[in-house]
Amino acid sequence: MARVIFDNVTKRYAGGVIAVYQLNMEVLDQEFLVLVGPSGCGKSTAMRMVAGLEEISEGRIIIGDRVVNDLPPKDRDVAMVFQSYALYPHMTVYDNLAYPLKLRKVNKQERDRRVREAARTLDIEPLLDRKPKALSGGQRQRVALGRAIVRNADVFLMDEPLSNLDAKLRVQTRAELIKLHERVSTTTIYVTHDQVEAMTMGDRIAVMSLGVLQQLDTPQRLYDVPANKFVAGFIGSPSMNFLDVTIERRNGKLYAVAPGVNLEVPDFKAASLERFIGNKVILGVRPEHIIDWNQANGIAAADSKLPVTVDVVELLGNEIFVYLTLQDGNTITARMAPDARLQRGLTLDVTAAPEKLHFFDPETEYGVY
Amino acid sequence: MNHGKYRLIIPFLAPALLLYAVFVLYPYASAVKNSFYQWRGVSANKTYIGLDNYRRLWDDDNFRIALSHNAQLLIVLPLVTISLAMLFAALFVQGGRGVRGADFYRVVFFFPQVMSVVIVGVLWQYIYHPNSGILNSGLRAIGLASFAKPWLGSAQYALWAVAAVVIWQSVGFYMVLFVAGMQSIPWDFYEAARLDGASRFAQFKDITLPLLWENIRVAIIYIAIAALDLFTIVAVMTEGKPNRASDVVARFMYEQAFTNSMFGYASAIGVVLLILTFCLAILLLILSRRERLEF
Repeated sequence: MARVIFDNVTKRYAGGVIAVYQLNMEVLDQEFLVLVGPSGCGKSTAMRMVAGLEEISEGRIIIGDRVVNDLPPKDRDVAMVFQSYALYPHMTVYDNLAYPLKLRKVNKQERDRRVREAARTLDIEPLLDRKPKALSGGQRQRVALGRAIVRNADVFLMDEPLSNLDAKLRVQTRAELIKLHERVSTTTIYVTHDQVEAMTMGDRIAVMSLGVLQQLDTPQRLYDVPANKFVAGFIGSPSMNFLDVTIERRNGKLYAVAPGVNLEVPDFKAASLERFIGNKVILGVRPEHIIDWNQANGIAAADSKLPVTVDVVELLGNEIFVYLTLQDGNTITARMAPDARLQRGLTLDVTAAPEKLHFFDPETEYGVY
Repeated sequence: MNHGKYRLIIPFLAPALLLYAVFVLYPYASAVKNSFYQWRGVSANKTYIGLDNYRRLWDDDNFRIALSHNAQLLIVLPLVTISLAMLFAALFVQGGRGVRGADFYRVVFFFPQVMSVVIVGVLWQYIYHPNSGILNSGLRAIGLASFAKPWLGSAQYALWAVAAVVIWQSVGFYMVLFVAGMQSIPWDFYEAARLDGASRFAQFKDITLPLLWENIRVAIIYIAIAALDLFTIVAVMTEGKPNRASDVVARFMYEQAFTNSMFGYASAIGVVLLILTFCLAILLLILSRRERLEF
């Protein structure tokens, strides 16, 4: 059990490529922290620096209260679950689990006890005599987890462990991992590119892009108060709609305006948006917050609406995704209840509750709050 | 469908099988037949003598000497060749990221394998020359004159001087084989092992060796079979001299046939060699069998 601190960590490769830039964050003791971001954002590199599999170019990484920059992987007391599981193919499941203990010269009895305990926790006892090639994907994943927990390490590192599983198994295993974390309570750094995994599993989430930490926060706050346009567009699926609008004052209220767009700005944002009056700003609204104006029930002002034409409707059973074309030709996505009778070519007015609107500075892309 | 398949395959296979039968199988059968005769090889006059050639072989000291040399090399050649090839391959693969100039080293190490054995033999005769050879000249130049031996002329060193040349020629081939094998081992395993606490040596012992085993097995069998042959290199470098100190069974057989004109006897030696090699190969295959790994 230990915390992990990234103290101004940078990773630079030969040739000038910067994979991680001035990363500052603390993973709290016993926290399940998810590192999320698109491919190439530096999340795996950051995790591998904690493991010791990548050299740290600048800055320090602290595990517990030790600076680990110069410690080899085996002395850092971290255990890792690889995306490909990396189970030794020539050893049985038992031997795979026992290997780290054997290397640390743990005596046979203790080794056996710990292996069997880990196997019991993960429900893989019947598989102990098998070789990895005789296991299914889900079973291999559990053995990989077993190899990590058998060591009682301070920190768990997981590198996209669910990527190789089919959708159904992924959902199942996600729940198992969460339960495991509740049982074992080890500080965990979990890397994924899947924002659904991040949102459902993390105590806190660190969103990264192009080597830079964008925001470190709880899932709900990332959703409600994204720090910038990138985070706003990354969290939430389908992703947030962005429109270029101008802020205007009318009748003492502020409106976000564009051809075919007229949406009321909430009062609590009026002060921060003052400086954008007459200027462009980026408006963001999530698909789930776009509603048929006729069913708005006074959520928005009477003149706060967007006339749209329905382009494509995707039926998902429990909801529908609708692709709507605005007057100026831009498309936005909306998520609606399945009983909305919409088909291609239909025109209607949509709106969004003012407090659900997000605004971003067009130059810096920071959120305006 | 199936019948059509064979109708296509057989015409393609037939010429190759025919050639094989004529140039490989028939000589084998011929050799076995001739081993029961006494035959000077010049005329068609053969005298049937039953198992006499084999009885003679059993008592022939010179045959025993040659066979013992093969036996010694059977142990030494695979051991040294594979160890060296492994060492060079490990250095070459060096952390999985390759060495600068890798292609150059690959060519240089592999080059001896490409040279004709006869050329290699002649080349090393010059190198081993007691006076003007580069080896002894070099040793004298750095003050190790006491190490400058008459390599090919000494009963003590001749066999091993030849063995060294055989190793020199074949290490490159096995190094390339092992490099290919090592590079196919997923990098993840080594990272997982490093985190588990494995030292470089443990990584080699617990991951590289087991996962490379198929390649090593092939190497052992090939080198072992070669160790029972070695005709060309010995014939070129020493002709088995001095006084059979560097002789091997294959060269001894050649001598019986072409120098002593005893083709029946030589055929018997050939048959014995065939049986020995065959048994050795089967034995090695069985002993080194492991489960097939998937990764």
